[in-house]
Amino acid sequence: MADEITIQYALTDPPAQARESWKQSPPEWLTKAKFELVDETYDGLVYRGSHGTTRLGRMFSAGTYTLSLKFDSDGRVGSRVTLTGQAPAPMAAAIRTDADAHGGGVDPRVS
Amino acid sequence: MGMFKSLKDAKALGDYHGGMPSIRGSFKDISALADDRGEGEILKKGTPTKAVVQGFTTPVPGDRFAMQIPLDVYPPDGGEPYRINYVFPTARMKAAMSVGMEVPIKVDPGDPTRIALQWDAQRASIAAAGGDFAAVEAGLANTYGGVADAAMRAAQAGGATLGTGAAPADPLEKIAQLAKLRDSGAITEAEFTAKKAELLAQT
Repeated sequence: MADEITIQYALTDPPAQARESWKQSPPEWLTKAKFELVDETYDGLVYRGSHGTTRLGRMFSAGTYTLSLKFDSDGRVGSRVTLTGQAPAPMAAAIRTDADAHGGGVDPRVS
Repeated sequence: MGMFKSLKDAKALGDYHGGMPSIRGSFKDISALADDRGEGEILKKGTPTKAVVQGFTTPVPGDRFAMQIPLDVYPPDGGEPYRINYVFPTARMKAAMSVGMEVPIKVDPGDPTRIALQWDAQRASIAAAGGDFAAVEAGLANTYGGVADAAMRAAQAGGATLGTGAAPADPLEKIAQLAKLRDSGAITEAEFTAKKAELLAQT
């Protein structure tokens, strides 16, 4: 599927705290793209957004984007957030910029 | 005629697979395929927690639209994990689930044996573990890594040498082997007698 993204980057807070602060104040790129929190796991969050950023665009959109997040310990005091799913191009660019601001993002998949 | 040939081919294909389904049967199948078996409700109202996969996915006898897998569920409020056989609608499966994997689930607060797997979130777990192959490999290592290691240590402690063929453990077999060595001249009669006495003392 087009617009697929998988990226992992570091956060300074421990996993539970990072997850909670993300949930309370999601990054601007999520709210700007009108993604909504649709599910929560014991260690992650799931967001969903419609194709198109305008109301008309969403009305005629063919489907939805789903972006899943998982917060893991980095083995020290901080955490790693892994994002996987779909994101429109401007949002994907904003995620990569965000990752760069946190020391750089990687695709954790080895194959 | 092309159209009649196509219809004839379609019928032949249907017959090959056991006959063409009736329209009623097709609707029944579509309905069964779309049935979420109450998982939507659990995902809405359930409590998030984790489960660890304890076996492999297998078909459910007599149910073409479901699969089953044993899971150890970790209660959301703590406590010892409990085993369930998770039967899930196959059409809902979105990600790999293999033995040893830790998977995100929601538990029905009114009936802890009813759970729903959070498939979208499972995709993030697999990505975080390094992708499909790495996640499956890690799961296998979680489950069987310790078992293989323990077996090797037990074998080494027992004096067996792995991978070189097992030496006879029975003293009488060893004596028979020693006799062959004596007959071939590899060992002397005195050496054979001494070793034989030693082995017989073990019996």
